[in-house]
Amino acid sequence: MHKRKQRIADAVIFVVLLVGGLTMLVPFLWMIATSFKEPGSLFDLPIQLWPHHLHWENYKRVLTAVPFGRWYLNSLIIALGLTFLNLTSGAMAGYAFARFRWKGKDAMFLLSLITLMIPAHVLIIPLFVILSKIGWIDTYYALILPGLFDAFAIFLMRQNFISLPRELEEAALIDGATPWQIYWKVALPLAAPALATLGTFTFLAGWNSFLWPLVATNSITMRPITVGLAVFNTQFSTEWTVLMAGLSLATIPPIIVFLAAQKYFIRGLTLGSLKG
Amino acid sequence: MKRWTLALGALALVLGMGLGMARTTKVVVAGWGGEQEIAMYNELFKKFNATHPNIKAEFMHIPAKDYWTKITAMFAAGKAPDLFFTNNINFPALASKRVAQPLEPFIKKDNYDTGIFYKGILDAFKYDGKLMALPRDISNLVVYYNRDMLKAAGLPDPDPNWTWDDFLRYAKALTKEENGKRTQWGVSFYTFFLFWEPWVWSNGGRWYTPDHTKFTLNQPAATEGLQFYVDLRWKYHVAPTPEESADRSAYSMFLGGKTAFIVDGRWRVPSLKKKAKFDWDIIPFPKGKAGSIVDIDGSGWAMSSQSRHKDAAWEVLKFLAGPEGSLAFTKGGLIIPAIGFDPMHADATNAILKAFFQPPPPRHQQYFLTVNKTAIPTETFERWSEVQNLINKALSPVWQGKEDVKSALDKVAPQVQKILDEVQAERKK
Amino acid sequence: MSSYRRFPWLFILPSLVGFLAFNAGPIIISLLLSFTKWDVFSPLSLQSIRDSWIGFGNYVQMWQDPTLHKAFWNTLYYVLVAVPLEILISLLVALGLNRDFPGVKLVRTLYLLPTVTSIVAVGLLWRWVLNPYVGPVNMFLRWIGGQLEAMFNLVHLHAPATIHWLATQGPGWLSDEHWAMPGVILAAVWAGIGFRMLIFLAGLQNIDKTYYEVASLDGAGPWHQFWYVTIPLLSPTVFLNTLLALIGGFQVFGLIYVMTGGGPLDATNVLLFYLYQKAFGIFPPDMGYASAIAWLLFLLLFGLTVIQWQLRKRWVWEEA
Repeated sequence: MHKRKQRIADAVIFVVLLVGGLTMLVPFLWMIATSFKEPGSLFDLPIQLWPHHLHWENYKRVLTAVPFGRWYLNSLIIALGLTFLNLTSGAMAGYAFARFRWKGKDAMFLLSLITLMIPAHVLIIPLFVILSKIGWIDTYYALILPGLFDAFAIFLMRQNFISLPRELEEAALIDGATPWQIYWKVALPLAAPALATLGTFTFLAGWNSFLWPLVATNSITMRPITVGLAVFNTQFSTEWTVLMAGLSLATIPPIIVFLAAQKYFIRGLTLGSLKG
Repeated sequence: MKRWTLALGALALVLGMGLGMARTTKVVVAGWGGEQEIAMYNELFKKFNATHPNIKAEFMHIPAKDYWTKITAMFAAGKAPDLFFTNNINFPALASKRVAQPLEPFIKKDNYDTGIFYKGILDAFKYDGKLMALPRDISNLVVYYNRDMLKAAGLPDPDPNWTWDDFLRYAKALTKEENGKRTQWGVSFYTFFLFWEPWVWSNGGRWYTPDHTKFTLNQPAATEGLQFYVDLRWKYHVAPTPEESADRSAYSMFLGGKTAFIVDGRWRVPSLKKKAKFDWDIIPFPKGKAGSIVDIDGSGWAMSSQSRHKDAAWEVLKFLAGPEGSLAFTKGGLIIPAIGFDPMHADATNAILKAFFQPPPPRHQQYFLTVNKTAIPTETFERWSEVQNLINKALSPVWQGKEDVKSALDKVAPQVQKILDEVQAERKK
Repeated sequence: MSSYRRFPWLFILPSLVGFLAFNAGPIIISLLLSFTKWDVFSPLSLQSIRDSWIGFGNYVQMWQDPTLHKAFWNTLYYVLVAVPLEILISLLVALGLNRDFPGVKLVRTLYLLPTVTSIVAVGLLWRWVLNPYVGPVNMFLRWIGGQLEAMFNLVHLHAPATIHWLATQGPGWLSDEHWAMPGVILAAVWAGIGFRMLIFLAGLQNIDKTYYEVASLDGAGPWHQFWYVTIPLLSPTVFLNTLLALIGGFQVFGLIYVMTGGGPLDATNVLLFYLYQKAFGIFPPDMGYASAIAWLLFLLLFGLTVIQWQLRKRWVWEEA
């Protein structure tokens, strides 16, 4: 009796979650559908959700009329570079805040949180001025290195290390391991789910960034996809169908990253943790 | 020891010569535009660089929507491009910040003839009486019409001297209703200022007095004109309401054959040629009390006051705005050239005109040029963008049919007047 | 072992270098700029800052600026409605998806799709979904209204005005002053669930399964386990997620930019959008005022964080 109730409840939950999830699919499908529409038919009534004929010319245009491949490469370099920096420095600092005790730790943590609270929009021009003084504008340095410090990463990793059980680390300490060895060999592997989560977010943030790469690049060939595609958004009109073709192609790497990371952030999931 | 110095000296000489020969001045030109325009710039500069071995002109493309963000950042860093593209709307704000170089000295030195440009657009690039940019193109407005729809309603082509009454008569005849629901409208409806200014001006109204001392957009001449425009939508129902257009843009309704008229610019020609499934043409804006007055706005290149190679930049500027540059951009089909017909340079300007008159449609494309005779530039000034925001906000209930023009503009008048007063004080300083 | 008692130079170094090189400078400059009427066109230097110094002028102007006040209340409105909704729904979704059933991976991925879909596409689609005349939301509402009205008519009663309104018109959503913010919130919560859910999932994954086993042996049912095991152990994650959601809520921008542009009549003009307008939307920009708004936002968030930090000690369960 109890079991059956449970099963019905599970089924209801599943259906609700699935329906919610399916709504999430709509804009994504619409983006792809639009990329196959006849140029200019975006907002005609009745709004067609799916095109009558597949118009490949949007893809042809985005792949041939602009250096799309180069932009793709730039986006990859930027997103991967940022992810690497972020995971490295964020996990290290997060561990320091979680496992070390020193004078002024709370103050320093608060200071790093402060950077999350100041809108980036007012920091862009000062940062541009500083980096152009050292001649980094229009280079990958300007696009990647400012991600070295990231309060979100520190925050997330600190929270994660705090919630990890300490027994293993303590055992290693008794065995005479140094803090770095413990971090590298014991704590970090345990943090894999958090690293996967953080890595996914950072990759996505880097992949989608717009305003900073726009300001920090001069030449068309240094642009990431987001900025590059703005060329189809001209003063009086936007070529939606071509834009959507470019954007659709641009969703492939983030999806791959999600699928790859999923394996890690669901690692260790045993049957029904809620039910015990 | 001596031999050493000699060798060093020779080396220095060789190096110096090598550097001297290789020394070219780089001139960066910033602008917005689609990928065709980028290609045009690159092609033009290839030509320019081939004939000017000491100058290397380079195009820096910046996406249109975020153009000024990037430009201001570069100015803030002291590394502005040597030449930058601008429209006349933002020009006074720029010029008042002294970031554009007055061109008089260069014009004098070269005896450069600015008479080849339309006077209206040239004036739009003057600040404090000084010319600070050379224009490339003109945007003005005409009425596009769907001839098939006119024919179906048994209407002849409109007369180029038509009046607002004629316009309304046409629009009414072209609006169709089926089962109490309108399915076709006389005219598409825009709410952006560029598109409603002609209704104000042609009725004798202005935004403010010519010296920008007093706000006049809430005076009867202006409000009556604008009210007529609003009435097209809410009183005569010959223009679609927001409900009826339901997220379709004004242009897509014209293109889709839902509206018979649209007041729009030259930039629609390439798209209409490619996509319109009906016979279309253009006609000048109808005459109000004060005539037919549309916008003559435009864009061109200004020289940055931060440029370190102003002489070289002037050479590039002359080339871009001159007959060769003008011809290249006109050929692309997007612009109305700022260079008019000039008997002194008949061959060059003839070529440009020839490039402009591409095969029809529209059959009557000369109107794009003839309307320039009475057109005036948007009444922009140093703090235009703030005023524009205020007016936009004030008019938003008007577009929804919830308020009349006069009361909306009266409400916002003190705020605009305050800005005008501040600008006057600033200018006196 | 409780902690190492020393300064972790090695661990802090990369972040510290990054902070000093790329964050500290711009932050200080923006603070200075908030006291100026800096003309963005004159090269930025101590000299140009000194030349355009106006003391607290921008802050005084904020005090008197009705649009800023409106943006402030709009921001509060947004945060108070959107943040709790986002946290609650994403927590429920995470709990639902933190189990093993066929296709769970696929469903999880579905929830993350809005995060990878371009925000422009998301915003444009929502504009259509919420279109008062042809959008599916109002079509559905009109259908419901029509059914209700028919029911009233069936028993010869006059339907209340609200039902009639629902049946014939429905909310004006993004074009109506009062419905625009709910419309934006609807879209933002929907789009934000995936991101928050992922953080909750990561937190749930970290809970040691032995706790449940022990609780189960003690005879605790699923509900007990949820209250006495999951919630306390998840509390650091809830804290983190709430703080991030608050910061994100106060800095909401992208969807508003695409969906409403702050309108109609400033009904969705929030602080960050207003700041953006001042910094990049008007010409010439008013970077001084924009910076002042940024520091106002900062003060708000900082105050909130300090409060939360104090509260944290009470409700967040941390292994000490």
